[in-house]
Amino acid sequence: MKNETPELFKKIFALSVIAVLIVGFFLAFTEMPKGWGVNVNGRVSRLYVLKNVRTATKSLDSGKFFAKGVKPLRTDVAYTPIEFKKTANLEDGAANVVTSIVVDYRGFDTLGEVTVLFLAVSGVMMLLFGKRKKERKKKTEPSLIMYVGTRIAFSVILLFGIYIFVHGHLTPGGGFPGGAVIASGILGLFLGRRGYSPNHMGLKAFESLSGIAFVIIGLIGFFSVHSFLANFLPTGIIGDLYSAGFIALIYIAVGMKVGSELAAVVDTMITDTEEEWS
Amino acid sequence: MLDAILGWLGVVLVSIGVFFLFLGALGIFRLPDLFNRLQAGTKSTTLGVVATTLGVGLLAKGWLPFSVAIAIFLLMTNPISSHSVARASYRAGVKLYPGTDPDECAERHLEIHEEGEDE
Amino acid sequence: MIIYVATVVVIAIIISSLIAVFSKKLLSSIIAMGLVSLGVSGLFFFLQAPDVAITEAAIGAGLSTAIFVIALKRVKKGETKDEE
Repeated sequence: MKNETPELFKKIFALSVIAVLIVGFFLAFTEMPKGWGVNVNGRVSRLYVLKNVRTATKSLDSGKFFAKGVKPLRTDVAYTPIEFKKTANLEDGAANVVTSIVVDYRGFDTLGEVTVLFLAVSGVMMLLFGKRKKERKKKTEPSLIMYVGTRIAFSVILLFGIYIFVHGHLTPGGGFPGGAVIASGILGLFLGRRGYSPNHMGLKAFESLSGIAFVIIGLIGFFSVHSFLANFLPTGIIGDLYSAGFIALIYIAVGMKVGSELAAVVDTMITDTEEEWS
Repeated sequence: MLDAILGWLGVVLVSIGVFFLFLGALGIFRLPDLFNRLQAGTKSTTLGVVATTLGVGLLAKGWLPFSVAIAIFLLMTNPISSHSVARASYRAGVKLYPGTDPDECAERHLEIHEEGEDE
Repeated sequence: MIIYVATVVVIAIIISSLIAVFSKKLLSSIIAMGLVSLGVSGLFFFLQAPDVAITEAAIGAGLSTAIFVIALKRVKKGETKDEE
């Protein structure tokens, strides 16, 4: 008891320090004077204006889009031409419009959500992980049916999760549900065989690498389109798998990150550890 | 012609599925204990749901691959889940219906329980 | 038509949340919470937000219920050790 409480307080303190650091990072990133960093409000409005209005005004030939004899009501407002099989911006390019908002205009918000999830997972792991493992005495060995069935079902569930986050820009879904589906498949594996434990370092490395990939994709946008998390890929034909720019890339990163994080949570919770309950 | 035949086949499949789903619901209400109810709720609903899904796939052509995939997945997972529920509840000591005559599971589980309880 | 289904779902959500609050057994509370999540995901689907519905069904009804059950198991193990 005497040794346990300071340990707990230390961990909580470390966790809060990390939280404060991350919040400070975000504030520093968003509240910096203009021209120095990423201005979130400026990014949204500027990107929107750049993409929509300027391209529209470039290709504005008055009378081109109207039948003969019909005059446009206002000549000072740009009318966007509609071209089929080509999409002008990311909002038109994604068949699932929600993802174009979540990843493009509110991409920074998505990064924050991923960070919040990371914080929660690291809190769980700090509190529970790292204790000495106990040799399990079998009370209930899972039956052969469970063993074989979960092995077969896991492959299907994994495939479905990957499908969800790869097709995030086409069908409902995206990184978060896909990752959760994958984690439930891994939970099935835990239930199916006793003593199953995934590679902890592998999970951590996977999770960190996909988190880094998210930021790197954002930075590529920062250096090529001069704003963080801006689309730098062609948007293609709406409805295609290879369309909607970088939404698919971001969602693949988010899905792998969420999947490995939630799998780590399940692993930490389910692995039997010897603990002193006060 | 082929479309009409496939459509009628789909209608027949959906009717079979609905009938077996009804039987499953009836069994869950009428049967005496958990294991009997589980049997009614698994066997008949597996057949019912699979037949309904395939029938819907035949009725709406575009959905046939999806419905076949859903049916295969249900065929894989539904019996497994009900098996694990039955096993867990037997181990947790849910009482059998008194009319269950040969309790074939009893001897095997007695051995395992004796092994496990020395923890 | 859909308003009646939604009404039934809402009533089911209310009943299961009451069960979750007032139940004596923690396990039944957890399962009732899973039912609440399932109903809420159905409501999201009716409100034309399939993205949120999928997320709610996968996380609320699937993963978090399982994690609650595991946590309950661990806590109970601690309690029995205490009594010994």
